[in-house]
Amino acid sequence: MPTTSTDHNFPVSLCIVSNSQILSDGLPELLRRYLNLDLVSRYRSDQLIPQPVQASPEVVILDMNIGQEMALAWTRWWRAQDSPPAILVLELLNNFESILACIEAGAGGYLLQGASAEEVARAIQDLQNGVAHCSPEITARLFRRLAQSRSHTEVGSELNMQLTAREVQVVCCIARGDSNKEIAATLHIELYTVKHHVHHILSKLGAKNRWEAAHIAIQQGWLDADQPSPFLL
Amino acid sequence: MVPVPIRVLLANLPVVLSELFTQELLQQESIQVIGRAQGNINILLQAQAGVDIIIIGAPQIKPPPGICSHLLNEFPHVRLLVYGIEQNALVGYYMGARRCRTQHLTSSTLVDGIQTLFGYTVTL
Repeated sequence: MPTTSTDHNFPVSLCIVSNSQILSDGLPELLRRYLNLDLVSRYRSDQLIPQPVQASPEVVILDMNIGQEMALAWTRWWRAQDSPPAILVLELLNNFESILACIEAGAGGYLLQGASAEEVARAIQDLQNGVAHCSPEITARLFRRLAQSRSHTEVGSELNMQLTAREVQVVCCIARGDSNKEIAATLHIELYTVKHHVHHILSKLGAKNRWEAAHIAIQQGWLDADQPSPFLL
Repeated sequence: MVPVPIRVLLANLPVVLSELFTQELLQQESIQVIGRAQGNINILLQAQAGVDIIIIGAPQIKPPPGICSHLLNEFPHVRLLVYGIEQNALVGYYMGARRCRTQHLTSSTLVDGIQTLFGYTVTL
Protein backbone atom coordinates (compact mmCIF):
# COMPACT_ATOMS: atom_id res chain seq x y z
CA MET A 1 0.00 0.00 0.00
CA PRO A 2 1.48 3.37 -0.93
CA THR A 3 2.28 5.67 1.94
CA THR A 4 1.48 9.33 2.06
CA SER A 5 3.14 12.04 4.08
CA THR A 6 0.11 12.10 6.36
CA ASP A 7 0.40 8.40 7.10
CA HIS A 8 1.09 8.03 10.82
CA ASN A 9 3.88 5.53 10.14
CA PHE A 10 5.66 7.91 7.82
CA PRO A 11 7.63 10.53 9.78
CA VAL A 12 7.20 14.24 9.17
CA SER A 13 10.55 15.82 8.42
CA LEU A 14 11.00 18.98 10.44
CA CYS A 15 13.45 21.84 10.73
CA ILE A 16 13.54 24.39 13.55
CA VAL A 17 14.95 27.89 13.23
CA SER A 18 15.38 29.41 16.67
CA ASN A 19 18.01 31.02 18.85
CA SER A 20 16.60 29.29 21.91
CA GLN A 21 18.44 26.09 22.75
CA ILE A 22 15.64 24.88 25.00
CA LEU A 23 13.10 25.30 22.18
CA SER A 24 15.28 23.74 19.49
CA ASP A 25 16.21 20.76 21.64
CA GLY A 26 13.03 20.28 23.60
CA LEU A 27 10.24 20.95 21.10
CA PRO A 28 10.89 17.91 18.86
CA GLU A 29 10.74 15.70 21.95
CA LEU A 30 7.43 17.24 23.00
CA LEU A 31 6.00 16.93 19.49
CA ARG A 32 6.90 13.24 19.31
CA ARG A 33 4.08 12.63 21.80
CA TYR A 34 1.66 13.56 19.03
CA LEU A 35 3.53 12.99 15.77
CA ASN A 36 5.91 10.60 14.11
CA LEU A 37 8.70 13.11 13.68
CA ASP A 38 12.02 13.19 11.96
CA LEU A 39 14.09 16.21 12.94
CA VAL A 40 16.12 17.06 9.87
CA SER A 41 17.94 20.14 11.04
CA ARG A 42 18.17 22.98 13.52
CA TYR A 43 19.46 26.43 12.71
CA ARG A 44 20.21 29.56 14.66
CA SER A 45 19.11 32.72 12.88
CA ASP A 46 22.67 33.95 12.39
CA GLN A 47 23.80 30.67 10.86
CA LEU A 48 24.52 30.32 7.19
CA ILE A 49 22.45 27.60 5.57
CA PRO A 50 24.61 24.97 3.86
CA GLN A 51 24.22 25.01 0.08
CA PRO A 52 22.66 22.84 -1.07
CA VAL A 53 20.52 21.76 1.87
CA GLN A 54 21.24 18.06 2.37
CA ALA A 55 17.72 17.04 3.17
CA SER A 56 14.82 19.38 2.64
CA PRO A 57 12.25 19.30 5.43
CA GLU A 58 8.50 19.19 4.88
CA VAL A 59 7.81 21.71 7.61
CA VAL A 60 9.95 24.49 9.09
CA ILE A 61 9.10 25.93 12.51
CA LEU A 62 10.25 29.52 12.67
CA ASP A 63 10.61 31.05 16.12
CA MET A 64 9.59 34.69 15.58
CA ASN A 65 11.88 35.67 18.42
CA ILE A 66 14.75 35.72 15.93
CA GLY A 67 13.37 39.09 14.79
CA GLN A 68 10.99 40.05 12.01
CA GLU A 69 13.58 40.82 9.34
CA MET A 70 15.46 37.62 9.98
CA ALA A 71 12.22 35.61 10.04
CA LEU A 72 11.12 37.09 6.71
CA ALA A 73 14.52 36.42 5.16
CA TRP A 74 14.40 32.79 6.29
CA THR A 75 10.80 32.37 5.11
CA ARG A 76 11.62 33.74 1.66
CA TRP A 77 14.75 31.62 1.48
CA TRP A 78 12.89 28.40 2.27
CA ARG A 79 10.04 29.24 -0.06
CA ALA A 80 12.50 29.80 -2.90
CA GLN A 81 13.77 26.20 -2.69
CA ASP A 82 12.93 23.65 -5.39
CA SER A 83 10.59 21.76 -3.09
CA PRO A 84 9.69 24.48 -0.58
CA PRO A 85 8.67 23.34 2.89
CA ALA A 86 5.61 24.69 4.68
CA ILE A 87 6.49 27.41 7.19
CA LEU A 88 4.93 27.49 10.64
CA VAL A 89 5.59 30.70 12.58
CA LEU A 90 5.67 30.52 16.37
CA GLU A 91 5.05 33.97 17.87
CA LEU A 92 5.57 33.68 21.62
CA LEU A 93 5.27 37.40 22.35
CA ASN A 94 1.83 37.80 20.71
CA ASN A 95 3.25 40.51 18.49
CA PHE A 96 0.67 40.94 15.75
CA GLU A 97 2.67 43.42 13.70
CA SER A 98 4.44 40.86 11.56
CA ILE A 99 1.52 38.56 10.72
CA LEU A 100 0.73 39.93 7.26
CA ALA A 101 4.39 40.30 6.30
CA CYS A 102 5.03 36.66 7.21
CA ILE A 103 1.97 35.42 5.37
CA GLU A 104 2.92 37.45 2.30
CA ALA A 105 6.42 36.00 2.49
CA GLY A 106 4.92 32.51 2.34
CA ALA A 107 4.22 31.34 5.89
CA GLY A 108 1.36 28.82 5.98
CA GLY A 109 0.74 28.73 9.72
CA TYR A 110 0.92 31.18 12.58
CA LEU A 111 0.63 30.31 16.26
CA LEU A 112 0.64 32.55 19.33
CA GLN A 113 1.76 32.11 22.93
CA GLY A 114 -1.44 30.28 23.86
CA ALA A 115 -0.55 27.35 21.58
CA SER A 116 0.37 24.08 23.24
CA ALA A 117 2.67 21.42 21.80
CA GLU A 118 -0.45 19.50 20.81
CA GLU A 119 -1.66 22.48 18.76
CA VAL A 120 1.77 22.86 17.16
CA ALA A 121 1.55 19.18 16.17
CA ARG A 122 -1.94 19.75 14.74
CA ALA A 123 -0.69 22.74 12.77
CA ILE A 124 2.16 20.66 11.33
CA GLN A 125 -0.33 18.01 10.21
CA ASP A 126 -2.58 20.65 8.65
CA LEU A 127 0.33 22.19 6.77
CA GLN A 128 1.32 18.76 5.51
CA ASN A 129 -2.19 18.42 4.13
CA GLY A 130 -1.97 21.80 2.46
CA VAL A 131 -4.26 23.50 4.97
CA ALA A 132 -3.29 26.84 6.51
CA HIS A 133 -3.36 26.93 10.29
CA CYS A 134 -3.74 30.04 12.43
CA SER A 135 -4.59 30.70 16.06
CA PRO A 136 -8.21 31.91 16.34
CA GLU A 137 -6.98 35.39 17.44
CA ILE A 138 -4.98 35.66 14.21
CA THR A 139 -7.93 34.55 12.10
CA ALA A 140 -10.13 37.18 13.78
CA ARG A 141 -7.57 39.89 13.04
CA LEU A 142 -7.24 38.80 9.43
CA PHE A 143 -11.03 38.95 9.02
CA ARG A 144 -11.11 42.44 10.54
CA ARG A 145 -8.30 43.54 8.23
CA LEU A 146 -10.15 42.24 5.17
CA ALA A 147 -13.38 43.91 6.27
CA GLN A 148 -11.54 47.21 6.75
CA SER A 149 -9.91 47.11 3.35
CA ARG A 150 -13.28 46.25 1.79
CA SER A 151 -14.98 49.22 3.46
CA HIS A 152 -12.14 51.52 2.32
CA THR A 153 -12.66 50.34 -1.25
CA GLU A 154 -16.39 50.93 -1.00
CA VAL A 155 -15.91 54.46 0.38
CA GLY A 156 -13.49 55.12 -2.47
CA SER A 157 -15.93 54.06 -5.15
CA GLU A 158 -18.72 56.10 -3.52
CA LEU A 159 -16.53 59.22 -3.60
CA ASN A 160 -15.61 58.48 -7.19
CA MET A 161 -19.29 58.16 -8.07
CA GLN A 162 -19.95 61.62 -6.66
CA LEU A 163 -17.46 63.25 -9.04
CA THR A 164 -18.10 63.68 -12.73
CA ALA A 165 -15.57 62.28 -15.18
CA ARG A 166 -14.27 65.82 -15.80
CA GLU A 167 -13.91 66.48 -12.06
CA VAL A 168 -11.87 63.28 -11.66
CA GLN A 169 -9.59 64.55 -14.46
CA VAL A 170 -9.22 67.88 -12.65
CA VAL A 171 -8.47 66.32 -9.27
CA CYS A 172 -5.87 64.08 -10.91
CA CYS A 173 -4.21 67.19 -12.40
CA ILE A 174 -4.23 68.80 -8.94
CA ALA A 175 -2.63 65.67 -7.52
CA ARG A 176 0.09 65.94 -10.15
CA GLY A 177 0.79 69.43 -8.82
CA ASP A 178 -0.70 71.40 -11.73
CA SER A 179 -1.88 74.96 -11.20
CA ASN A 180 -5.35 76.03 -12.37
CA LYS A 181 -3.80 77.64 -15.45
CA GLU A 182 -1.95 74.42 -16.30
CA ILE A 183 -5.11 72.39 -15.79
CA ALA A 184 -6.99 74.72 -18.10
CA ALA A 185 -4.29 74.29 -20.76
CA THR A 186 -4.14 70.51 -20.34
CA LEU A 187 -7.89 69.99 -20.50
CA HIS A 188 -8.51 72.78 -23.07
CA ILE A 189 -11.02 74.58 -20.88
CA GLU A 190 -11.37 78.10 -19.50
CA LEU A 191 -9.63 79.09 -16.26
CA TYR A 192 -13.02 80.08 -14.85
CA THR A 193 -14.34 76.55 -15.59
CA VAL A 194 -11.37 74.97 -13.77
CA LYS A 195 -12.08 77.10 -10.70
CA HIS A 196 -15.71 76.04 -10.91
CA HIS A 197 -14.69 72.34 -11.03
CA VAL A 198 -12.26 72.77 -8.12
CA HIS A 199 -14.99 74.40 -6.04
CA HIS A 200 -17.34 71.45 -6.71
CA ILE A 201 -14.61 68.87 -6.06
CA LEU A 202 -13.80 70.36 -2.64
CA SER A 203 -17.42 70.47 -1.74
CA LYS A 204 -18.17 66.88 -2.85
CA LEU A 205 -15.09 65.37 -1.22
CA GLY A 206 -15.48 67.42 1.93
CA ALA A 207 -11.89 68.59 1.49
CA LYS A 208 -10.63 71.83 3.06
CA ASN A 209 -8.32 72.68 0.19
CA ARG A 210 -7.00 71.37 -3.13
CA TRP A 211 -4.11 69.56 -1.41
CA GLU A 212 -6.49 67.55 0.74
CA ALA A 213 -8.51 66.70 -2.37
CA ALA A 214 -5.29 65.59 -4.04
CA HIS A 215 -4.49 63.31 -1.10
CA ILE A 216 -7.92 61.72 -1.37
CA ALA A 217 -7.34 61.14 -5.11
CA ILE A 218 -4.02 59.44 -4.35
CA GLN A 219 -5.46 57.33 -1.53
CA GLN A 220 -8.36 56.21 -3.71
CA GLY A 221 -6.00 55.22 -6.50
CA TRP A 222 -7.58 57.53 -9.08
CA LEU A 223 -4.16 58.46 -10.43
CA ASP A 224 -2.62 56.24 -13.11
CA ALA A 225 0.49 54.45 -11.92
CA ASP A 226 2.62 56.22 -14.53
CA GLN A 227 1.43 59.68 -13.49
CA PRO A 228 3.94 61.18 -11.06
CA SER A 229 2.56 63.19 -8.18
CA PRO A 230 4.52 65.60 -5.98
CA PHE A 231 2.41 64.37 -3.07
CA LEU A 232 3.73 60.88 -3.44
CA LEU A 233 7.31 62.01 -2.79
CA MET B 1 16.96 10.99 54.35
CA VAL B 2 15.52 12.09 51.00
CA PRO B 3 16.03 15.85 50.50
CA VAL B 4 12.88 17.90 50.01
CA PRO B 5 12.63 19.00 46.37
CA ILE B 6 12.56 22.66 45.41
CA ARG B 7 8.95 23.57 44.62
CA VAL B 8 8.69 25.51 41.38
CA LEU B 9 5.69 27.35 39.95
CA LEU B 10 5.65 28.26 36.23
CA ALA B 11 3.84 31.54 35.69
CA ASN B 12 2.79 33.68 32.73
CA LEU B 13 4.81 31.65 30.27
CA PRO B 14 3.72 30.86 26.71
CA VAL B 15 2.08 27.43 26.87
CA VAL B 16 4.65 25.64 24.77
CA LEU B 17 7.49 27.07 26.90
CA SER B 18 5.69 25.96 30.06
CA GLU B 19 5.57 22.47 28.62
CA LEU B 20 9.25 22.62 27.66
CA PHE B 21 10.32 23.85 31.10
CA THR B 22 8.22 21.15 32.76
CA GLN B 23 9.74 18.49 30.54
CA GLU B 24 13.22 19.77 31.41
CA LEU B 25 12.62 20.05 35.16
CA LEU B 26 10.88 16.68 35.47
CA GLN B 27 14.28 15.10 34.86
CA GLN B 28 15.62 16.73 38.05
CA GLU B 29 15.00 14.84 41.26
CA SER B 30 15.78 17.93 43.32
CA ILE B 31 13.07 19.99 41.61
CA GLN B 32 9.31 19.59 41.64
CA VAL B 33 7.03 21.55 39.33
CA ILE B 34 3.95 22.17 41.45
CA GLY B 35 1.89 23.81 38.74
CA ARG B 36 1.36 26.50 36.13
CA ALA B 37 -0.41 29.81 36.55
CA GLN B 38 -1.59 32.41 34.07
CA GLY B 39 -2.51 35.86 35.34
CA ASN B 40 -1.40 37.64 38.50
CA ILE B 41 -4.34 36.54 40.65
CA ASN B 42 -3.67 32.89 39.92
CA ILE B 43 0.04 33.38 40.67
CA LEU B 44 -0.79 34.88 44.06
CA LEU B 45 -3.24 32.09 44.85
CA GLN B 46 -0.74 29.38 44.01
CA ALA B 47 2.08 31.18 45.83
CA GLN B 48 -0.03 31.05 49.01
CA ALA B 49 -0.23 27.28 48.67
CA GLY B 50 3.53 27.01 49.21
CA VAL B 51 6.23 27.49 46.63
CA ASP B 52 9.98 28.10 46.71
CA ILE B 53 10.64 29.54 43.27
CA ILE B 54 8.37 31.13 40.71
CA ILE B 55 9.53 31.30 37.11
CA ILE B 56 7.75 34.28 35.57
CA GLY B 57 7.59 34.88 31.83
CA ALA B 58 7.81 38.47 30.59
CA PRO B 59 8.55 40.11 27.26
CA GLN B 60 11.74 41.68 28.71
CA ILE B 61 13.85 40.89 31.76
CA LYS B 62 14.10 44.58 32.71
CA PRO B 63 12.16 46.10 34.27
CA PRO B 64 10.79 43.07 36.14
CA PRO B 65 7.02 42.54 35.85
CA GLY B 66 4.97 44.55 38.35
CA ILE B 67 3.85 41.41 40.18
CA CYS B 68 7.47 40.73 41.27
CA SER B 69 7.72 43.40 43.98
CA HIS B 70 4.29 42.43 45.29
CA LEU B 71 5.29 38.75 45.50
CA LEU B 72 8.60 39.52 47.21
CA ASN B 73 6.85 41.72 49.79
CA GLU B 74 4.02 39.28 50.39
CA PHE B 75 6.13 36.10 50.40
CA PRO B 76 9.69 37.01 51.52
CA HIS B 77 10.89 33.40 51.31
CA VAL B 78 9.89 33.07 47.64
CA ARG B 79 12.56 33.56 44.95
CA LEU B 80 11.67 34.76 41.48
CA LEU B 81 13.28 33.78 38.22
CA VAL B 82 12.16 36.14 35.45
CA TYR B 83 12.45 34.76 31.94
CA GLY B 84 12.68 37.51 29.30
CA ILE B 85 11.26 35.96 26.16
CA GLU B 86 12.77 38.52 23.81
CA GLN B 87 16.30 38.18 25.19
CA ASN B 88 15.91 34.47 25.93
CA ALA B 89 17.51 35.20 29.29
CA LEU B 90 16.90 34.54 32.97
CA VAL B 91 17.41 36.83 35.93
CA GLY B 92 16.76 35.99 39.57
CA TYR B 93 15.22 38.25 42.22
CA TYR B 94 15.18 37.67 45.98
CA MET B 95 14.84 39.52 49.30
CA GLY B 96 13.67 43.05 48.59
CA ALA B 97 14.12 42.72 44.84
CA ARG B 98 17.88 42.15 44.94
CA ARG B 99 18.97 40.84 41.61
CA CYS B 100 21.17 37.86 40.69
CA ARG B 101 23.20 37.75 37.51
CA THR B 102 21.49 37.45 34.15
CA GLN B 103 22.02 34.25 32.22
CA HIS B 104 21.21 33.16 28.71
CA LEU B 105 18.60 30.40 28.91
CA THR B 106 19.67 26.83 28.23
CA SER B 107 18.60 23.57 29.86
CA SER B 108 21.55 23.73 32.23
CA THR B 109 21.23 27.41 33.14
CA LEU B 110 17.55 26.82 33.91
CA VAL B 111 18.39 24.12 36.43
CA ASP B 112 21.47 25.97 37.74
CA GLY B 113 19.45 29.16 38.06
CA ILE B 114 16.82 27.43 40.19
CA GLN B 115 19.38 25.69 42.41
CA THR B 116 21.53 28.80 42.85
CA LEU B 117 18.54 30.98 43.63
CA PHE B 118 17.26 28.41 46.12
CA GLY B 119 20.75 28.40 47.67
CA TYR B 120 20.23 32.07 48.58
CA THR B 121 17.22 31.00 50.62
CA VAL B 122 19.27 28.47 52.52
CA THR B 123 22.29 30.67 53.21
CA LEU B 124 20.51 33.93 53.98
